[in-house]
Amino acid sequence: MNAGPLVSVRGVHRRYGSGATAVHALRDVTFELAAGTMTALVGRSGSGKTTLLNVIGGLDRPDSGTVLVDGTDVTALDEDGLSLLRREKVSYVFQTFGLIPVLSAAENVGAPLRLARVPPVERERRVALLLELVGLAAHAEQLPAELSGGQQQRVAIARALAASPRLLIADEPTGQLDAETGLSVMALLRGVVESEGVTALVSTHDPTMLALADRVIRINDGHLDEHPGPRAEDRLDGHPTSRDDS
Amino acid sequence: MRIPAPHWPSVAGRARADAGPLLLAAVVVAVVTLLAGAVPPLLSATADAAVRDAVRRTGGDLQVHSRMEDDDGPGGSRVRHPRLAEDVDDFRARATDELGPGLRAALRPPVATVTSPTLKITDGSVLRTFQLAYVARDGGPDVTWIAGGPPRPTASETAAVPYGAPPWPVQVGLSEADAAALRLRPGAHIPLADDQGNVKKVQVSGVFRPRDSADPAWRLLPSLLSPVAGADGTGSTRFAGLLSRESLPDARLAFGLDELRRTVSFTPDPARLTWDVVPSVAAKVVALKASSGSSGARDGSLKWETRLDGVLRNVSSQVEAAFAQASVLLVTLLAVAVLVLLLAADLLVRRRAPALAAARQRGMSLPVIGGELLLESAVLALLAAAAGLGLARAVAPGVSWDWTPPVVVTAVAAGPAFGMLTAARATRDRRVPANRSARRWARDTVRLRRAALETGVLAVASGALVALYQRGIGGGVLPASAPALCVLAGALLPARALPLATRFVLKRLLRSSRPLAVFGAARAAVASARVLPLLVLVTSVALASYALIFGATVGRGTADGPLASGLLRLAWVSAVTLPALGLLGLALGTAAGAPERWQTLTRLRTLGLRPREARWVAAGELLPPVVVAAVGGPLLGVLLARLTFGSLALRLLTGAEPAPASPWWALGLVAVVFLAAVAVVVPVESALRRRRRLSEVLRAGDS
Repeated sequence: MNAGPLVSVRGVHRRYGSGATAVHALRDVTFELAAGTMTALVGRSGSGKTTLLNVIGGLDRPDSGTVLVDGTDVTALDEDGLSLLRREKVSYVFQTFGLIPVLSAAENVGAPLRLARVPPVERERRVALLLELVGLAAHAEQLPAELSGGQQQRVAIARALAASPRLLIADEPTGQLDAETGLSVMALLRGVVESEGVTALVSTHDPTMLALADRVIRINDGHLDEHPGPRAEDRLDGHPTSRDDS
Repeated sequence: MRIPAPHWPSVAGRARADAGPLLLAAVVVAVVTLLAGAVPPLLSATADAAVRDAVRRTGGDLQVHSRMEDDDGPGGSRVRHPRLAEDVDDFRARATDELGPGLRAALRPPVATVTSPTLKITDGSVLRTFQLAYVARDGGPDVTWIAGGPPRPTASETAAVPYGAPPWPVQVGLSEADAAALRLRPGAHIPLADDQGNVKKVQVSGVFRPRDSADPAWRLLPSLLSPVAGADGTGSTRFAGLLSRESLPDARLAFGLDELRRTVSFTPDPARLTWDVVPSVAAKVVALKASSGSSGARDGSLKWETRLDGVLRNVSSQVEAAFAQASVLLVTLLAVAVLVLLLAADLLVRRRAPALAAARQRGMSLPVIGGELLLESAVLALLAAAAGLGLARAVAPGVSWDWTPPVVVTAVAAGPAFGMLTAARATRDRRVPANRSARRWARDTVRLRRAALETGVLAVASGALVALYQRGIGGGVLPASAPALCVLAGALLPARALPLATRFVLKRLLRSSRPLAVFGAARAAVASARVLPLLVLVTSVALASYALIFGATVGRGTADGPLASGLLRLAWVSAVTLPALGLLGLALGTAAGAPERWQTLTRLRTLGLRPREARWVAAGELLPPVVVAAVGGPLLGVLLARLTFGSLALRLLTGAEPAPASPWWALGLVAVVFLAAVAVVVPVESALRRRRRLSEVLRAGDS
């Protein structure tokens, strides 16, 4: 685990539209995420969760403020720089899985490694390892349509971890899954945070998922309202810097 | 039962939101109805001109002969018949009556002539011949006597002439030119003898000048106005003397019993001989010839002679062939237009799928959904068709509705039909079966349906080709549809093969370390399942190639002719319109696949794909069908030309059976244009999509 914050968000504003109809999605948002932690981002629909995830991941640009990810100022990067950031440091898990339908589970997981020009032997080894990690080694050659929703999301998580990112962003990853499957997916995320040492920022509606987070950030009308997660004390015992980050 | 009313705000809102695709469909309808509406009347006008030209060039006069009544008198003599000119008038009237109103309306007023055998002028060594001629039509032809006067009778009205008597005197008038050439004055005798050396006693009564030398009556006997060289052999010169009504009976007695030839000539009037009247005119002419008396018969029956039926038969064959060949080109345009309209409807329904599903889920019935969509498409299609036909009326001498229904019906019905299917699927209770064999059964059912549809297309195409071979080009719509149907059937082969090929390529590429090629092939494998865009591309390129070969072949084999050039213009218009429709199809297909494509590309962008790399992946998806069309289309067009040109009766326009031309540079240009279009479409689409935030994919997985 890193000693410093992996993510540092300072004074971020994001507004959609202009004039009387302008919507302030983020208002002076400032916080940090410690490396190797899993943070849950909760809030009502329209509260600004997705906008915040997008701004951190470089999928959207703030009107003002800065976002540092592993020391890189995301807001200062051009398109190619953002692509490189996504290739090397930040990965995503979609609510709708986002798998490529004609590629097998293994090929989907290997897609980021292809982009990173990882040699085939190493790529296959890494894919096998990740599928094993998410419990889908036996389904490596199946197409996404032949997998259940939970299995598809596991493939998506494996793909998100393929390039060994520093930050994993997941927006409602259990939104299309039933409660039991959703919980197992969150548990998987929790597990990979620990086993891969990745930092995870997960938005969710489901209060039962919060139990797995180190930290909970509530967002309301663009403002942050922070609470330590149920697992925060456990984390704080071993990693005091996490508490300082929050 | 109360019929639910359309929800007008929804109808208007949908139309506003999808104004682009709707406008494109309307433009297609307008352009194709313009062509389909204008070509037949333009071709009819061209056919009229062709008929007139053929008649003008080849003559085609109708001539009717009738033997004069015997003039035997009592005691072995011949009796002078003073009313002979009136008999000629009666003969002219009888012949005119026999024409019937239809044929009579297409002919100029008749000209009656009575001509003597050709005589020799016996006062010199140079071969000069002379003919006595009487010419009469209603009111003319008029002459002015500039010296002497008109021919007078040389005997009392009812004189009797014994056989073997000395030559009977007869007076004739000479034109100024003839008189000057013969150096004769009024009162002089012309030294004449027939082939047997029998001397004829012909005196010049006067010298005349025609009131109108262009009078059609003179055209039949030009030597009456001036000497005609070569009429009776090389080095000869023919002169003629004009008989009057009064001197005609003397001319009868000056020659043997049947030596004067009585003829009525009818000249077709090109201004009134149009393509429409050709069948009835030709039929009447054939009937007249069939009822014609034998040339050897010694009665007063009418003996018809004309080449008009042959002329009309030839020009009819040419015109019918041109109409049929034009219909081949029109059918190719209609076929591609129908496919493009289906593609436009598909795009429209894809864009509207969420709204249609939502409407269905809110309880809107399928008939109401279909009714609202029908209202929109009907208004649009009918307005566009009216605009197209209005333009056709402005540029052509008339307008034809005959070829417009396929396009208008497709434009009206495709959108509502696809929309209702989409809405019905959205709320259908049927789920994907959990049982694998049941899933296979369902998959096989879909395959069987598609195979049945394709077999149907193949069967119809084969039938059309057989009909073309057996009945020829003039056999109706089915043979005329053979090229279009064969291309459609031929396009099914790459439509079947492309998904297999792209999956094969993808499997091969998966072993490679080229990520862009892998992702492009993956997208291509998904997109190749859509048959309609490929059909539009292949058929448009193949039929454009066919039109190019058609135009090059006709253009190479024809010197000129109003018919051939009209057909040539249609071929070039088709050769331009078909690729334009194909490019429109490419744009529509690209737009229809764009959401899915950019959804994948955006996902790949979140994995680190750069924007310019995304464009390569998009090109990788779009290129395979375009490459198939660019390579396979021209080959299909060439193959089809070789298969069908022999049955298109092109020789009727080109004069000889032409070998299909191969304008390779033009075919290559069509292929290059389509390939270049991808190079334009991808950056344009990328630029348009750049406005949409990548971030949206995180929430909904949709770009």
